[in-house]
Amino acid sequence: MSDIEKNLRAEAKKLLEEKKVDYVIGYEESNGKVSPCFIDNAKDVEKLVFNPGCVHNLSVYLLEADAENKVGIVAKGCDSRAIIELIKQNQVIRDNVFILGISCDGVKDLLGKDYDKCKNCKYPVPLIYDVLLGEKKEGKEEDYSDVEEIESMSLEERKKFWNKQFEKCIKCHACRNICPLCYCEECALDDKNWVSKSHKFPEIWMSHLIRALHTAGRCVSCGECERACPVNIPLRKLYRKIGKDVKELFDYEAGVNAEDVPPLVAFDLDKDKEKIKQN
Amino acid sequence: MQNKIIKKVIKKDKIKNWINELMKNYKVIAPVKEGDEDVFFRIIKSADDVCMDFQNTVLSPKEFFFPKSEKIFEFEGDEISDSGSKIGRKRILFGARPCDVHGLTILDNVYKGEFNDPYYLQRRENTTIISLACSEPDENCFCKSLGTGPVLCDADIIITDLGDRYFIEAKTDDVNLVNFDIIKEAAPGDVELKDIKQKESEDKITRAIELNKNLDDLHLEAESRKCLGCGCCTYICPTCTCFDVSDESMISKQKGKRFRCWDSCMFPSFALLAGGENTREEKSDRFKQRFYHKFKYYPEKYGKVMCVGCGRCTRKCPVNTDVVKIINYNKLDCNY
Ligand code: SF4
Ligand code: SF4
Ligand code: SF4
Ligand code: SF4
Ligand code: SF4
Repeated sequence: MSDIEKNLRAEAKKLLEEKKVDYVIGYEESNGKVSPCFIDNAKDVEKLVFNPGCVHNLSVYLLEADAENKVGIVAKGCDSRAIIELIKQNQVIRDNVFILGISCDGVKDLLGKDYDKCKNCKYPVPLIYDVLLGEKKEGKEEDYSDVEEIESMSLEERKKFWNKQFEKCIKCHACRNICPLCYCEECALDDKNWVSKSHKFPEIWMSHLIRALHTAGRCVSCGECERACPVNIPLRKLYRKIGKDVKELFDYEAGVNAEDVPPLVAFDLDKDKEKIKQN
Repeated sequence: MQNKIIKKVIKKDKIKNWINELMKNYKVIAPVKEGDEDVFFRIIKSADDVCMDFQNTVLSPKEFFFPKSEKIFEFEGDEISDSGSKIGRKRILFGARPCDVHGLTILDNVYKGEFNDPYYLQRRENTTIISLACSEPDENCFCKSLGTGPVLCDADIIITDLGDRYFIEAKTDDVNLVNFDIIKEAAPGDVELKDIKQKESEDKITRAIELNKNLDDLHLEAESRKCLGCGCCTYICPTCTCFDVSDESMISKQKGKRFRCWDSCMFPSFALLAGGENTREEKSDRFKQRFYHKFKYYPEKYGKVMCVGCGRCTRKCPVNTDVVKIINYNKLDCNY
C-alpha cells in the first residue's frame, strides 16, 4: 500500500470518527477497476484506494450533497479546480467540504495509457485543500498544441472534422452529467424549444455548440466529458478551444484562483467590446 | 421448406471479393474502423473499409433497425405528408456479433406481435444477417451464461474464423449469397476445426451472470449512489427499446415534422407526467427500473431476460457500474 493510500485512510477515519464529515467521497476497487465510492462509517475506510486508476473527478457528487451535509472529498489537482469554481459559482459552500488533496502523478486508462490531460497537466498539486497527501511537485507548461492543430485547419476541414465526430453522438448526455461544472438544474439541452431531440444535422451541432459555449469560464479541463463519451468524441479539445479563447480575451482561467471574477460576471460591454471585435 | 445448412469455406484474402459481390445487389452494413481502435457499423461504400478484426463494435447494430432518430411524418396545417422513413434496397448486415443478433430477437418481441411497428419491421424484414462468430471475447462478455454467444445465433449466415479462412454456415434460403467461385465446399477437416475454434472461444469467456435472482434481494439502492443518470448504459445496449416522440416545428407557419428518437429510463424526464408528477422521482428509482425491466418485467412477459451479455454497459459506464456484479450480488456475502 502506498503512503498516500495509508494516510488517506487515516485522515478519512479521523474525519468520520470525529464527526467532522457525514461521509467521504473517494475511490474503491471493484472487479479490477476503480469506482467512485461513498464511505459513511469509519470502519469502512479500508475500502479507500488511491492509484493510477483513480481518474474520476469526484466533485460532481458535491452537487448532490444536501446543504446541511458536511462532506469529505478526495481531490487531485485537476479535480480541485472544479471545487474552486463550484465554490465561486455558489454551488458548494466552502465550510461544508473537507478536501483531501492529493499531489498527483497522473492517471492511466485501463490499457495503462496516460490520459491526455495528464500529459500536459499544469496543476498536479491541488489548488485548494484541507490536508495535502504526497509531495508537492512542479506542473508542466501550458500546451495548447492539440487546439492549435485544429485551429490551423481550414473552415471546411474543421467542419468536416467535427461533423464526423458529432455524427457519432448518441445524445446520452454522459458528457454533461459527469461534468461538475454542468450544474444547471434545468439544462437547455433538455428543453426541446431550445434544442431538438433529433440526432440529425444541423440539430446535433446545436446541442454541441450550446454545451461548448456554456463551458466558457467554467470548464477546468478535467477531461471527464471526453472520458465518459461512449463513442469517443474528443470533447476536451473542443472545450479547451473555448478555454483558450477565454484566457486570451479575459485573462481568466477557471478554477485556478478563488479571487478571480468569472468573465461572465466581470464582462463590461464598453470596455470589452473592442477586444472581442479584434478577434 | 425446412432449412438445411450449407457448409462452405472462404479464404481470408477473398472476403473483400465476397463483399463486393454482395454489394452489387445489396446495401451492405459492416464494421468499419474509425480512429485508432473504435469500430462502428456503417453503410459501406467500399469493401476495403470493412474491418474483420475487432472484439465488438462500440455501438450495437441496433441503430440500423431502430435509428437514433427518424422522421415519422411532416405536417403543414392539417396536411400530413411524407409519412414513414423509406428504406429502399435490400440490405445485408455483415459481421454482427452473435450477442447483437440475439439483441435483435429481443427487440422483435417488443416491436412485433402485440403491436407491429412498421418502421422497425420493414427494416428487419429487408435485412439479411451475416454474423461473425467471436474468437476473442473480452473480459466483460458474459453471453455464454445467457446462451446468446459467442457463436450460435439466429443469423441467416454464420461465419467462423479458422485462421487463414472462414467457415460459412448458411441456410438454404440464402444459397445465392454464397454461390460464388471464391467460396468452396467445406472439407470434413474444416468442420472439425470449426468445432474446435468455437469451443476455444467459449472457453475464453470467464464471466457468467446468475439467472432467476430475486431482485428485491439486490443492493440496487446502494449501487445507484454513484450513478450519474446519463443514458449511456441504455443507449449502447442492443436490447433497450424505449423511444420518445417529438416535433420540430415552426409555429408561425404551422409546419414541421414529427420524429421519434431514443429515450432512456435513466433520465428524470422519462417518467415525468403531464401535471408535474414524476413516478420515478429519485435517481435510485430510475436505476432500479433498468434492472427490474431487464431481469424481471421482460422475462415475466417474454420468458427470457432482456440482456444478451454483450458487456457494453459495463465497459462504458463512466463510473464502473457492473451489471454482472449487481445481479450476482449475494446478500449473505457481507463484505459489501
Ligand atoms: S466540460 Fe469536460 S473537461 Fe470541462 S469541466 Fe466539464 S467534464 Fe471537465
Ligand atoms: S457523451 Fe458523447 S455520445 Fe453522449 S451525448 Fe456527450 S458527446 Fe454525445
Ligand atoms: S452508464 Fe453508468 S452512470 Fe450512466 S446511467 Fe448507466 S449506470 Fe448510471
Ligand atoms: S444490459 Fe449491458 S450487457 Fe446486457 S445487453 Fe445491455 S449493454 Fe449488453
Ligand atoms: S458477448 Fe459473446 S457474442 Fe458478444 S462479443 Fe462478447 S463473446 Fe461475442
